[in-house]
Amino acid sequence: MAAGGALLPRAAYAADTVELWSWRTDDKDAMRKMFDVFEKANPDIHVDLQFTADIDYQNRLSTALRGGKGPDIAQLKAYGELQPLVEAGYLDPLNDSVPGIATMPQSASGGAVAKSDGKFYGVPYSIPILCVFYNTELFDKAGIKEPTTYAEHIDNCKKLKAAGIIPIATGGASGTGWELELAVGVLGPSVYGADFYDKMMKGQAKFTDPKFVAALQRFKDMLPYYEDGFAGTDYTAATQLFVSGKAAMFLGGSFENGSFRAQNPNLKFSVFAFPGDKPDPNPVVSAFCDGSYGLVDSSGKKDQALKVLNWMASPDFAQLFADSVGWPAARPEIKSNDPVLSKMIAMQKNSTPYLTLVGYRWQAPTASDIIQSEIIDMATGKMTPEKLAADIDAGVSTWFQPQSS
Amino acid sequence: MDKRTRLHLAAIGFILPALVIYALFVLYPLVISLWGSFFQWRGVRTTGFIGLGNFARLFVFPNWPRFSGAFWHNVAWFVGIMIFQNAVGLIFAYLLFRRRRFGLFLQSVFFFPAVLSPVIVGALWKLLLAPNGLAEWLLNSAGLHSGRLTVLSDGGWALWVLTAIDAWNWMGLPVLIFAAGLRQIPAEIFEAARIDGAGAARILGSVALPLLVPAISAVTTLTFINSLNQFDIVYVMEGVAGAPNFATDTLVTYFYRLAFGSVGSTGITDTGLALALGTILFLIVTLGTIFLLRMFDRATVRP
Repeated sequence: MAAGGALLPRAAYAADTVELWSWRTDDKDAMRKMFDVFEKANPDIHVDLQFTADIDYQNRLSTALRGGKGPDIAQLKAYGELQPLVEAGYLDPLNDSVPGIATMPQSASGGAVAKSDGKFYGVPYSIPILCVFYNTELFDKAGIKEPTTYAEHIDNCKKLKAAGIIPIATGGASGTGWELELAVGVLGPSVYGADFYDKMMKGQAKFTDPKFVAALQRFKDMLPYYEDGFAGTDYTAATQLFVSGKAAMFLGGSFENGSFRAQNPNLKFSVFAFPGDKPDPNPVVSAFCDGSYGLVDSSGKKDQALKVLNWMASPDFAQLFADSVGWPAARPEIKSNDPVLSKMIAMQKNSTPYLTLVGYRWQAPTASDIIQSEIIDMATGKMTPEKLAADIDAGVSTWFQPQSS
Repeated sequence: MDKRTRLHLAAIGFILPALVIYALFVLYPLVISLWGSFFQWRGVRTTGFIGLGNFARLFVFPNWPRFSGAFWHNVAWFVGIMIFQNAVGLIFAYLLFRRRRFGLFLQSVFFFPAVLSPVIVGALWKLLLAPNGLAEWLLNSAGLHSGRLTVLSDGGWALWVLTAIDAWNWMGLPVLIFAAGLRQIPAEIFEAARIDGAGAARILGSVALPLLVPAISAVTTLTFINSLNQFDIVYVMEGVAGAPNFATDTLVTYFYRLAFGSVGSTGITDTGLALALGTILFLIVTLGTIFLLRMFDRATVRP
């Protein structure tokens, strides 16, 4: 048996081996299974998957590329973090060689675009969306339903609080301020709408715009419904409140789906898009590109690597990805048996770019740097939303250039 | 070759292995990073010589508020440690010195936290000071506080709490050094002071303190260097951005963000600015240390 098992991969090695690097150490097994499917259909290509922990990945990749010892296919960070690799000439543009990228939604492909020439340099694999996770059992217990307006949401919070349940768990202490930035991303589109991102990019609006200030204000207004000691709670502690069934809601991203389920398989939860002032059958949510897979310029097996990348740009791969990893893929047209994932996929269809990440995580100081640090002072009343908005604007104004339309 | 030259050559031969290692792993990187601070960087590549351009950028928005803020936090840290750790440590050492019974045992007790890594100390205190943590329960039970304890997220408190934890961590060191210093002072000096009618406080102030200047010099200089290079406790307890709202940001956490990025800007680094900051920090620490050593040298008295 063992000998037979060892023979098969060797036979595959006789074919051309394409080396692929990824930082998704958590998805090692899931990814191997996905690429086994590819190899079955393409026996002449073997994909050698190599994983490096996220924290070391970027350094390892750029060092290897500089020394000409990189992989054939590399997982790439999105937006601003992609640019240094493109500018150094380590990657090949994929517009002509992988036509599938252009058929993906812009919220996915936008993360793989180079600022310098506007071309695609990677095949995106996931569009995470930001939404409200809620505990269906606690909602039933308090006799409430998914809210369709902000007023209903606040009403729900009051009922939960009266029932002795923590309405919303969130927290950004001890350097996890990104969770609070994310919370603003969850509720943001319900306040500033779907077109705000484009206006910001064109320079027609700034962070000091009343709409963005109103979004910050809304985050602050919900303070009575966050857990007691919210200011001192970090991201992990906040997730624990939700996972353990103590809190009814959590402001998060689609990537929590798998980990919430893994931490408490008995937790009954679902998701909804943060509601606005008026009921909206198609509420808008924040979405972004998590990263992509790109072709390394110094690769000696570009033809084979492109075959792999074209497959990764296909709807087949997207379906496989969602089924095995539990994240929404880069294509909203796929279907899922997981009801939570299905709802997230439906939300992808009405998404706007996650403003602070997609628009302003390009150069330091990023909007994220400022909001993550200062938002705690705004929430605890040491700073007004107007001041926080002005600080973000002043910081990004040192480098941000609006698109010339 | 005369005997003197041969002796010198032999001496150089003996230190050569250590010197080579020192030069390779300390001097070379130091010089390279000083040199690098004069260049413009894109990621990990230099793109051109810009003289003092990086240094100039440190002194304008948006870098100046971070740089000056971090600097004053380091200074506050130094002052805090001088009071919480060294002044209190001196009093403890003096009390231990006067009351010999259990002295050595208590000294070991004071020293115990120093064997723990600051990373462990930080993680431990983070748990103790968290909402629903032990510190909150104790304070609330004693009626000194009510509700949830969030001092680590309160800009008015966070820096002082961290400094106090650092002082707790290293309290044993000044106690150890001061106690050893006190034991080295000839007993007859204390005897004479007592016969002249001096009380305990007077003996500490007028006799022990002046004779302890070498020990105070060592402790102060070490404190200065450690305070200016403070990183680990902040990193563990407040993250790399010195939460809340940069209230606990230090020069080294700022350096770390510039050189390696942070959550809100992973991979978006500013190596040139980081190296300029590193150079300035190196200058501050070196010049400050020289100044402190000279000042204490002048203040040293001999019995």
